[in-house]
Amino acid sequence: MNEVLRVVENEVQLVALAIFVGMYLVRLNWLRSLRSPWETAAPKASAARGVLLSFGSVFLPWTMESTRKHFAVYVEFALFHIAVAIAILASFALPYAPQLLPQPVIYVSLFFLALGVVAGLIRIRRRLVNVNLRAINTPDDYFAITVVSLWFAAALWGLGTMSDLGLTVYFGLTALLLIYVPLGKVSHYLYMPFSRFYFGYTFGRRGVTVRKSQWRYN
Amino acid sequence: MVDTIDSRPKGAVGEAAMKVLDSKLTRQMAVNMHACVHCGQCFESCHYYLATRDPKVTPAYKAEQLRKLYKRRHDWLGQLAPGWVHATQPTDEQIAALYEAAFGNCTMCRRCNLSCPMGLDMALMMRTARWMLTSQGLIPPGLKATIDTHLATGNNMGITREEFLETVDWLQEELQKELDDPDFRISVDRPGTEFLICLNPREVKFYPLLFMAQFKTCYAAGLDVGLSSAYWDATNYGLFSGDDAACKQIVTKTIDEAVRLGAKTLILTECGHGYRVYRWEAPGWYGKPMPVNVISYIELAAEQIRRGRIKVDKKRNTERVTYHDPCNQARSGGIIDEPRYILSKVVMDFQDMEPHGENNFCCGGGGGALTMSEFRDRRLAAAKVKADQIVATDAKIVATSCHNCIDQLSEIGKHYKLGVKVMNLCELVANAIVLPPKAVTVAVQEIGERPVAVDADGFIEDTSLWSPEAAVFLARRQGFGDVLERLTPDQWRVVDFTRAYYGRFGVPPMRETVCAELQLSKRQFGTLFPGTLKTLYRTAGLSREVVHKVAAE
Repeated sequence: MNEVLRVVENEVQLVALAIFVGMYLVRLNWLRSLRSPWETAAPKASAARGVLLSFGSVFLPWTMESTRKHFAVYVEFALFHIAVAIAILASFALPYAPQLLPQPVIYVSLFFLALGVVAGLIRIRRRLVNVNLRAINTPDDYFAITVVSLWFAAALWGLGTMSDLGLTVYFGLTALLLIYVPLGKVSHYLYMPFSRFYFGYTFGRRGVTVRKSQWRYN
Repeated sequence: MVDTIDSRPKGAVGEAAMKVLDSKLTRQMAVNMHACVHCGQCFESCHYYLATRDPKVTPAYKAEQLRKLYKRRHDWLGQLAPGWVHATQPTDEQIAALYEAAFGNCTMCRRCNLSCPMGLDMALMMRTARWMLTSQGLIPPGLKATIDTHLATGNNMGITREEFLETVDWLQEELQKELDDPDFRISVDRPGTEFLICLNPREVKFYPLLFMAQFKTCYAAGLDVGLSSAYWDATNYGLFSGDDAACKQIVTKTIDEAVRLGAKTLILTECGHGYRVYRWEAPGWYGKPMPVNVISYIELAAEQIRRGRIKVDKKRNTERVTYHDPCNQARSGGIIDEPRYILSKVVMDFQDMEPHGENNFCCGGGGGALTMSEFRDRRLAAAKVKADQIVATDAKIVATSCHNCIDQLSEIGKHYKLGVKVMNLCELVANAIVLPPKAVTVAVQEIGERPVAVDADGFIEDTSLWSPEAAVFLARRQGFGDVLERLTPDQWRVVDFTRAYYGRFGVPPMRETVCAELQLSKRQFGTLFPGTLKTLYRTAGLSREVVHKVAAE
């Protein structure tokens, strides 16, 4: 292992991670400082069940019209995010717990990373081609998807060859993303648990997504 | 709108609007501002987009008009490199774009909310945008006039108390004829009214049949309902302008009036946004625990039918009916299965639209759109989606339970030549109601100064005429011979307890209660009052209606 890779894999990662955590904590603290009005009307159904359903809907594509109609987009979403998870886990496993990456695990990871790259390319293409998406997409969107797709490709290269150069690029991109994530579009990870919680809470307690059986009519 | 902006220094409106945004910034709002990933999954959930395919009316695009402003102020990248995330200053042009998005191209129906993988709430964003604009005088004149009238007169059509009372009198007479009950009364401002009905001013002014249909339902269910002559309007267009102060003022007056009259429950007429306001949003504006329950007419009717307190005959509505879910009542209010339950009982042929329920498309008249005549053309264009939904059901009647929906659906019917009749659900319910046969006087006995009349079921007709002598008369008539010829002390004990219990609780005691309280076995009770419990109830001078109500439960 050359010295550059060692530094990128360790010191640089740790510094980037510290910046990432620091920025997230600042953001979370800011969110915490905002008012959060809660509904006080008597609930019609269960808010807790609503929240569970809301988070569960990520894994239940048939429950949402958009994913029912565009199942291919859902598959692409799933593959993209599986690749994200693998790339994140690998960035910790490689330097600190390489025993978690035996050959079969590496092969499976490579397979999903490759699919992630394909999903990323499809996403970039769609955002460039579709006039409706172009109307709302910003340079940040294109940059984020491109960098993440490149990150998958670098992980594919690094994990597949275990070459110093491949791994250096992979860890370099990981560090870049760690710093960029809290700033740009990828920061939706931070907000998504809140938004899905509010969704489930509101629609659950109002009896929209959680219904009472007494009114079953057929 | 342009005049309002032009009359102020360049950028002044935007700067002031941004201060409003800052003051309205909640955690939920901030999350909505940051979490959009611009994936486009919301596009096809919007009737504006589906009807026009215009990239500028997709939910995400409309939300971006607000996000651009927000990001310039609160997003790190928006402050460092605004172009990178399309953040922008609140220029006059951007404020005009926000106005178009919030008032002209969105009904705040929340359908996109359900299709968003992040679960983002467009209605919250658009309502905030509307308030930013409204606070600067940028509000469609029709919407403003509706709110102003409500605040000034207590209802959104400026109906005076005299006009209101005149209408109530007239409809009372009509109902007396329809119900064949000259004693029927519509209580107005009566202290102790249990259920206070809130109406839509359009029912008072233009749709008296709907007014009557709701009172007929309550009459059939034997409910103690009434009206306030001061604050009876169920609507609250502050919901559509984002004006929380107006909302608060309106709901506070209505709720305080209900408290003044001692009402326990507010029944909201078939008004989509009115129901949402009072059921879900009002507690936040009222600022203290709600002193009254809030139910919709739909919930009330469904419950009364389910409990058998209203008898209905679906053969009276034979044509095919479909149902349009009002967004504020269904998606934002949770009333989805109840109307279908009602329809399954009151019409012969019901065909749901696809999609329906929480996924139903907005009719296009939501969000106060009907008050904004300047956007009429796009409102009707966007309604093509709803027109196609209706046509696909092959229904002859489109039922709904919201006045904005009724008006919009009627307009759609004409515009797209659908040849359908649009009806409120209460009309179908009222048409199907089977009223119990009228009590027929079959016996009269002179007791004291006034004759005591008995109906075909053996119940006293005027309970105020009951007396111990009348009890003996009522007991003897029941055909149990010597057992009830002369009431014994034990029988009197039971009768007295029954009357006292009814006086205290408003319902007659069940057999188990009587036996437990008076330490009687069931056999002893059967010996004292043979037959069914009605033997006792008749003797104790309870009315036929009270007993039938208990039987139904």
